[in-house]
Amino acid sequence: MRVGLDLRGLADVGQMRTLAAEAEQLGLWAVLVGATPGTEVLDAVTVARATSAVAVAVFVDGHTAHPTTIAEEIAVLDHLSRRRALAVVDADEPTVDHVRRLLHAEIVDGFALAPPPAQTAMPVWSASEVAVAELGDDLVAGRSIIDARRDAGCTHLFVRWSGELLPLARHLATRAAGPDFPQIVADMADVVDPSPPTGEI
Amino acid sequence: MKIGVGLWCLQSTATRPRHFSDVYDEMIAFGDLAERVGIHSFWLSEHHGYHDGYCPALLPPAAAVLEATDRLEVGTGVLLLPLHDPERIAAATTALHERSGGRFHLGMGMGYRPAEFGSKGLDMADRVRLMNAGLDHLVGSVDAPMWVGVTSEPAARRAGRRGMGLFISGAFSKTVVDTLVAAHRSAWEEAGRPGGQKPPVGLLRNLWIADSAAERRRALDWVRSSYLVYAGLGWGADDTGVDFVAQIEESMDEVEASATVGSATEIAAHLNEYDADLVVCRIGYDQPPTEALWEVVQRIGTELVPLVAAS
Repeated sequence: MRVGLDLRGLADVGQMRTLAAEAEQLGLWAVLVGATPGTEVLDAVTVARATSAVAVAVFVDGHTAHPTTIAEEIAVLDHLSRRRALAVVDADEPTVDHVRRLLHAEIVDGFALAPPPAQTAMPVWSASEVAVAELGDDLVAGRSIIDARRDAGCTHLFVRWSGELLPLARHLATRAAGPDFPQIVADMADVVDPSPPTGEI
Repeated sequence: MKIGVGLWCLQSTATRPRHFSDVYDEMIAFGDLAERVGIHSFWLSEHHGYHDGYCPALLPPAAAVLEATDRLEVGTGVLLLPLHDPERIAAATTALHERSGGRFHLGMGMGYRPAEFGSKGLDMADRVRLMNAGLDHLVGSVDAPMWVGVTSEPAARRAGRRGMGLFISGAFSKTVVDTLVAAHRSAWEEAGRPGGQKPPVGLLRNLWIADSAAERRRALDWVRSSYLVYAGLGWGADDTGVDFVAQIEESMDEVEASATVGSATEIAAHLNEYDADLVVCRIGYDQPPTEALWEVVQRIGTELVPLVAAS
């Protein structure tokens, strides 16, 4: 199971840049943004410009935008982010499917998306497919949530997290990766290097 | 007079096929260059469903250029407002305005290709109604500088009576420009001078700084070639009222005649004849090699900007 950071609702763009860069530096898989209808992909561009490796996941309101508009914005984001875009469309399934077909370069109702995205199989998820968990700074409680999701077969989890990112990356994202994480590795890492690396970024 | 550059259309054309991701990267490099050489603003242009990928979503690339720069202003020249939800555009414009320290300009036009309206479930016959409703929504909800792209007097009046800037596209004579400017100003005055300050006039002009006769001829050929893109757009539209194909040579001659190619001094003398606050130098053709485009942006910043700064 892969772990991403859910930054939706973060109003401060400077903080969005800093946290996205730090999430990438600490090896998280993705950053999720997109809170206000109309500005979702602008937030995603901010994340894309601040990073080079994380997936840029964007939650788009499919009720106020036409499927063609959503697909166009996501395709442009995919080029601006060098094929890191992941679209989450909050809409009914026919709308999500419409967006997905356009982004997979199908001609829909006589219309071909131009430009198509850079990715061949652009991920287009419906909002109901997105797994999100709010985790506090109690790492023991966090472990049980991570273990339960991973063992239930989840492939990803976006985490809402308000503390330092190092414990999330060291204790929980690592643990999520597979069923046999040796906890002593994370615990010893805290002893060897207890300071978060934010100053080095 | 302020000097901008444009139009970035982000295409991969038949004359110059490229990877789209490289086109977007190159745009950001040009934004950085424009800022370094003292150019005021950087303008993008929109179409939908066109085979060469002509940019269909201007606000994400505008955000990218604003993120990559500190002083450069970035505008849409123009965003086709009837094809978008005005509330989404208002929210995005406010966000770009606030995040960039007021460096974003929203320029808006109506669009003229039925296929583009069809792609969003709209009928082009509704475009004037949609445009007016969109402008009315924006004027009451957005603080950012706003412009209306115009090719006719009714459109100039539409901008003036709302206190919005006038953005005039390239291929017009000085007589036509003066008429549009007068219509814009009188509509603003008749509406009770909304905003209190006369809204600005922007001109898009086909121009290129070149020295020798051979360089000038080459630049004019690039200007002519730009019309091919519009001929192509016309092929997708059966009721634009313009027969792009039959008129292609005539149209290219008109575009060439409207272009100003010469030294920075000659171009400055020409631009100073106009009553404009902003001139967007139209150099974003697809045919010139990147090196030539790079050089002309440098020369516009270092040679032309100082010559018109006081006017």
